[in-house]
Amino acid sequence: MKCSQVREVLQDGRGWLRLIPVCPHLVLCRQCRSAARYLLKVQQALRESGRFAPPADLLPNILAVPQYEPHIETKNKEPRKMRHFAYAGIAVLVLAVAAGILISGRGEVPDAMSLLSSVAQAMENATSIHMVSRGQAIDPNSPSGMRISSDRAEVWLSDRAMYMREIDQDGTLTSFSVVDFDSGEFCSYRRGTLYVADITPVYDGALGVIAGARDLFVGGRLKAILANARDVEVLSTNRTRNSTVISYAYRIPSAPPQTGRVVLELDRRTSRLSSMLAYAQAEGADEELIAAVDLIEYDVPLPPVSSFAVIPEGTATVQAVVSIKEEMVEGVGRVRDLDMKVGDTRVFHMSALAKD
Amino acid sequence: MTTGRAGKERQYERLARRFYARIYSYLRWLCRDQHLAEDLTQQTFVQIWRHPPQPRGDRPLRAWVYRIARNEFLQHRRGAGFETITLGDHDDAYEGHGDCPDPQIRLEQKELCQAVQSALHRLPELYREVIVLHNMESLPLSGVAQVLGVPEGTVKSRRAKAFALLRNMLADEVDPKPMRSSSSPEVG
Repeated sequence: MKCSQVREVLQDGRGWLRLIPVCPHLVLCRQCRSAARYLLKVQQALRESGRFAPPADLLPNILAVPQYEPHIETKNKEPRKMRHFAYAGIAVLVLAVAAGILISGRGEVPDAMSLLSSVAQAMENATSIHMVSRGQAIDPNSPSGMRISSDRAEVWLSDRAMYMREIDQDGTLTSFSVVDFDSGEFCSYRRGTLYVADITPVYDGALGVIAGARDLFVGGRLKAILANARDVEVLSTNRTRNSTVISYAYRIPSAPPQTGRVVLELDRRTSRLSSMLAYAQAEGADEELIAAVDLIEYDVPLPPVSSFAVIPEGTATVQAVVSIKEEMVEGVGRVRDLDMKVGDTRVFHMSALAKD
Repeated sequence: MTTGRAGKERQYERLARRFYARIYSYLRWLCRDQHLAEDLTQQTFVQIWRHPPQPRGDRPLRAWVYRIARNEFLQHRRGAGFETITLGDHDDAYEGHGDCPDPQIRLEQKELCQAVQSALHRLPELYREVIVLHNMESLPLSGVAQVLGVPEGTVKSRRAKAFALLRNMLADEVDPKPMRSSSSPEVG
């Protein structure tokens, strides 16, 4: 991803999901982190400025308009058109990032991220999107939040919320997650436990931790992906004559060495993404499917939360707490920690050594 | 299906409750005058009552409402020899919230907010309305383009220019010091 593309995303300032694809670049690029720090501060200030409060008598006056205005008959109802779908395509990008598909543009090779962005753009006119992935056994080492291990996973995305649920072959609901972008609430059910968290601190602070960092400490698989992101080589790009199927082969040479393929299928008529498959092959191992979206249905109305997130009886509810702490560590500097805990158990953690 | 006066009134009330505060705030940013913003907001909703939204797949409702408000503002400006109001009369009216328990941080946030608001007021209208619509009212770029009647690319370039201007104005409050040119990996 190029710096100019990253700046464009940062200037957008809407929705933390949109920022996921730029995080790897921010980790590696000081200039963009500096720009991100400025933009986040300004955008936070803009958000906190809020709106001018309307005077108390404004609404009654507006509501009284029909009483003194002549009636004009209309037969048409208000179009049920939600705002343009800002987060369209993000799920695809999330899957792509999770799968380690961090392919940067080289020479004349098309930039995969640009392609995905244009796909997201093409999806923007949808009022909601319903994605279904079936029968995939996904890489067990991928981050747990991204793993699709059940027989059927469904994702609904709109500009207001993201729902995801997994259903076993016998129809049993094994997990679901709901992210409400408006209220900043996150709830996730898995194996008899319902986790509820206020993600507002993440929204407000997660990228701030990265942007304000002099050094960043990331663990596990994500660390390997980020460390290797700059070394990704695009080996080949193939596309059908009408460009409805495009595939990229890539190689990550440094440890752990890995090759892979991403296959994107576009609808010829609408240019919308209709499926995505990502394969990876570690050295000396067989190629395996690591991410798949095999059916995307467009313009499907968002299901009601009540029908979607049916909490099975006997479910224990626990509160997850997200916090960002800052402390001075002698000989190290100012350290900022982002923590998500359930009770005393840390379920997510990120540390950053802050700028002086 | 909404038919008859009762249905039209219900639809109007829904729209009014949903948008009146946003439209008032947007117009206040545009005209920088409380009473004028109030009048223009009412006028906007008179237009909405007279010409209710028709179903059109390619026209998001929110952008349509903002566009009516903007037209009301432009129409007023054309007819009234528009005068901008100087800064200083708007600080008390923000619905801004500083809910951080630390008073020091709250104070810093408040100061930064005031600096940003002041800078925003000093921005040329061309750039200010892009920031207000996109970054404060959360309209997507396509929606902003529809409200302003310009291509999406123009909105993007105005937004970039607006942030560059704000950065110059806020050099003391927000301090993005120039960084070294090295971009070596820092993953630890």
